[in-house]
Amino acid sequence: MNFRIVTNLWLIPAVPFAASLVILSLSKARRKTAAALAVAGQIAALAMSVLAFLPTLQTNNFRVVQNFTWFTFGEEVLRLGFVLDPLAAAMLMMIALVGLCIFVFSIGYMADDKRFTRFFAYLSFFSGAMLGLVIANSLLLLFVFWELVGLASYLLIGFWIERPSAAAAAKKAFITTRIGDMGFFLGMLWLYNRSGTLLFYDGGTGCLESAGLALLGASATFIVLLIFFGAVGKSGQFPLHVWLPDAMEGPTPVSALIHAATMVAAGVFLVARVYPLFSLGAINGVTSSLTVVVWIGVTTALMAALIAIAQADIKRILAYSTVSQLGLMMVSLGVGGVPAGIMHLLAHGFFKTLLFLGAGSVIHGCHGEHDIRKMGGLRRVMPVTFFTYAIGMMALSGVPFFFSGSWTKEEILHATAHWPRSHAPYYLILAGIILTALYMTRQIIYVFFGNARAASDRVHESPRVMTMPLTALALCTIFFGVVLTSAWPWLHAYLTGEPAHFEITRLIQPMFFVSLVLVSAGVVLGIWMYRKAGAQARDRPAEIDPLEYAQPALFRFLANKMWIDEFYGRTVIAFSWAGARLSDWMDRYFWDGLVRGFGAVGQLFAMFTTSVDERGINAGVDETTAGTRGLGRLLSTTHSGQIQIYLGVVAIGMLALLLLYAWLA
Amino acid sequence: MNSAAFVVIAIFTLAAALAAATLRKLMHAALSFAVAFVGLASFFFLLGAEFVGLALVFIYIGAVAVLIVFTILLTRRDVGKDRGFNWSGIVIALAMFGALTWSILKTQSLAIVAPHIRALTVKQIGAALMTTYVWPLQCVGLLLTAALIGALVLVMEEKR
Amino acid sequence: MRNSNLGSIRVTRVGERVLAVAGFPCDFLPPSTDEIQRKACFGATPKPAREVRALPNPVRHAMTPTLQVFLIVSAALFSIGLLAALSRRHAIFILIGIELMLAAANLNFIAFWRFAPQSKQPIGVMIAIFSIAISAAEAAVGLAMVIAVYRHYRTTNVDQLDQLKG
Repeated sequence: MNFRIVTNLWLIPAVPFAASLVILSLSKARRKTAAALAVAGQIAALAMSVLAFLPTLQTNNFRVVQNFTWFTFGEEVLRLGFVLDPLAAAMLMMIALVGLCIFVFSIGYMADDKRFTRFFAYLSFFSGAMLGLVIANSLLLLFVFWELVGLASYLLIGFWIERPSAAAAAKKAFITTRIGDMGFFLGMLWLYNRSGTLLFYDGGTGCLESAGLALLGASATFIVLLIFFGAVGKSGQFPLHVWLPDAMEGPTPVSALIHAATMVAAGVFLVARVYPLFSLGAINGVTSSLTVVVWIGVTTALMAALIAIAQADIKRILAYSTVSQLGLMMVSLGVGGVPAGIMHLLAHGFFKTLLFLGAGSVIHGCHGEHDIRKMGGLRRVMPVTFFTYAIGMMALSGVPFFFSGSWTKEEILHATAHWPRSHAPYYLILAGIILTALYMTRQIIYVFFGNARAASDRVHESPRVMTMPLTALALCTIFFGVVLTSAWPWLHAYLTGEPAHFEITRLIQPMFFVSLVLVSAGVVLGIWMYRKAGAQARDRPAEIDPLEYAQPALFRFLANKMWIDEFYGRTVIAFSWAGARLSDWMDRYFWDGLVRGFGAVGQLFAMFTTSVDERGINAGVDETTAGTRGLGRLLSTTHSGQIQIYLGVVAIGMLALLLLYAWLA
Repeated sequence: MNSAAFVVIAIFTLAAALAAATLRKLMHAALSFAVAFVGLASFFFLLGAEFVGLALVFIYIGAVAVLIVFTILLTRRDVGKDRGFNWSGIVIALAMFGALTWSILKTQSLAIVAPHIRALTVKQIGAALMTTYVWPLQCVGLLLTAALIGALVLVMEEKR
Repeated sequence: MRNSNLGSIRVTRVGERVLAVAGFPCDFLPPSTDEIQRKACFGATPKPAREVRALPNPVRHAMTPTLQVFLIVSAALFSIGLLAALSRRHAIFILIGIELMLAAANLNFIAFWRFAPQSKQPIGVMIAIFSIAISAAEAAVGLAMVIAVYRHYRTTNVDQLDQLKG
């Protein structure tokens, strides 16, 4: 059985795809069937992922590849394939599990939506594409799934198409990621040109294996940077991060599934997948392409964490936090800590989904209110949401020992501290961790503590179908930490292919104290800054933020997302507008003038021929026409003006010809 | 050339074409039209003319089907009225199919299987287009330009 | 009409042939046939191998579709196009019908090219390429005409358009 799923990996994405197709063909009223089908498809995908996961535990460095020919084009053979290795298996498990929780949660969250069935069709479609992405063994196949998740993301961000902001956000997300994908595509073409194959592993000749890598030479750096540009777009890294916060216009389960846990992490996954290309010709683990990855990651992580401090929308804070965490993962990959980055990706998948679903529960309870300054005191009315949210918050901030996030952050710090090129990323990341704890504390204080404010009226705890996934994810967040501890780094060993052993003395590492100090600093700073935040009376809903009070200029800078959107509006977008206006002008005046000139020449010539015509030829023709006119009048009675009848007559004529042929032959 | 593939593609193509010809809603018919051309392109792949198959996908599904959809959207107010169906067309079409099939089956020289030939590369097609067929190519380019201008002139709003 | 009997017999024979091969194992479905960890390296990958080349076996030979079968499919496609062009009232359907008929012609070109002995130039493919280009031009002009007609007469039903009436 296990053997069969390993050789039939394509079944894993195929099942959600099939579910999506069936749901699309259902009528709008079949809500229960649609939800049941989607959840069943996801459960099947999860079961198959587990079956695929089990054999990877048995041997170290497990890798099964199945390649097949897609089509032949003349002499060229285009081959695709699927691969199962620890990286793919771990991603499969995370996506299927998180996806299942979100599917169940959506049943409650989308209960009142009129396009309920459509929503589940899109979710299943996304799930299938994402599962396919992680098991692709060809850069081309990966790209296909990459675009499919992009499409699903576009459809789901713009799910509430009636809202102009949602439609605009969907367009922005699609176009911004497409800019990155263009780089990816060019990189892919270049890679194919150099190595002649896009398969990752192909019995020694794939583009990630030694024979394939040897063909690349110096061009590898540029190829890989182009591919990385695609990852920058998808994972919301600076400078293409602008779409991700806007993508929060979509329904909250979508934000949780696509824009927190899975799709945006695809960029990180891609870097990890093609890591041999990044580290080609590395000296001491440093290459110029990896250095670029580190600095982009550091910039993103710090910038997004700073912006998150000054946001008021509960989902936007989480979105910037996602951007920041993705930056952190990129840093980890860049400094050589691939397992640490992937572990953080997996852990982040769980706790960020938990946070988003918690935010969804809060929004659902507050009847669609997103502004944290209008909430307050919710911990009494929504206890389950509060506890699970707090767990997620502590995991994200990296509160040591009990939560998965702390172990992975420690690993990342550890990897970054030993980067030979520079120590600056390490210190910048330390600052990022303080900021993370600070903005999460701020959010918790605003939403759950203090007095009830404007939006807190008639708040209710969410139904069981929504709190159950929250609880499940909270448990995942805590117990996932067990395989991450430094005493028993099982996941680390699983990903690197070494045996893991238990050693209690390694439990407390020096980094443990570093992160303890940082997180406490952040939390204490947060509590001190926002101690009065919830104390205001309920009739003052939008109070002034303490930071705004102290540093109005800084706060405005951050609250307006560092003016990056405006900067793009003035430069890139204005530039393309100018280009469009220029070509409009050229068309109107320059080309038009040319055409007019040619026209004048033609006119002159026409004048000449007319005179010849009128004097020489017409006289003779006039006689002939008189005769023809009489015949024409006779024939015109058969003309009804119905072209279909004419066509029918032509067809009958052809039939007659065929019969004649049959008769003669 | 695989028979099973042939049967599947044939059923797929003809069903989609029939849907394109008979569905009542214009938009559904246009989508079936695109699907029929996917089937046709697979036929071309089956026959070893991959380049033509891909060109078919690009031109018909990428351009013509989209153009049809746009036209449907531009003439939308009229769409509801399409109820008419001329039954005599079925008779003529069936007669045509019968006559064609009959004459095809009657011709003994057509009952042959494919010989084996060298794969046709894009390079060969490109070389042929640039040498032997360079004048037809220019003519087609001219024709396309003329069609483009003609189509624009036809749909241009008249200036008053 | 001495031939009509013969013709009908042929139809059944061809029909049987098509049915008989329907249970043939499908080897165009992707991964199940490939083995794990294929060792074949790229440069030495076996050539794409059209099925015909790989199958000299006469029994399987009889199973592969003949030129006639392709022509019949093409005839069916043509008739469907004719049906659309003759029966539907909407101008766009007529265009769809014409496109289907042209597509049937293209299928014929390609089929004849594939089944004929190989010549120096891929003539059938060339004609198909030009024919596709021309039909694309035809579609553009035709659809533009539909829009223009719609602007003038506020209808796209051809039975209401009889300006050509003599």
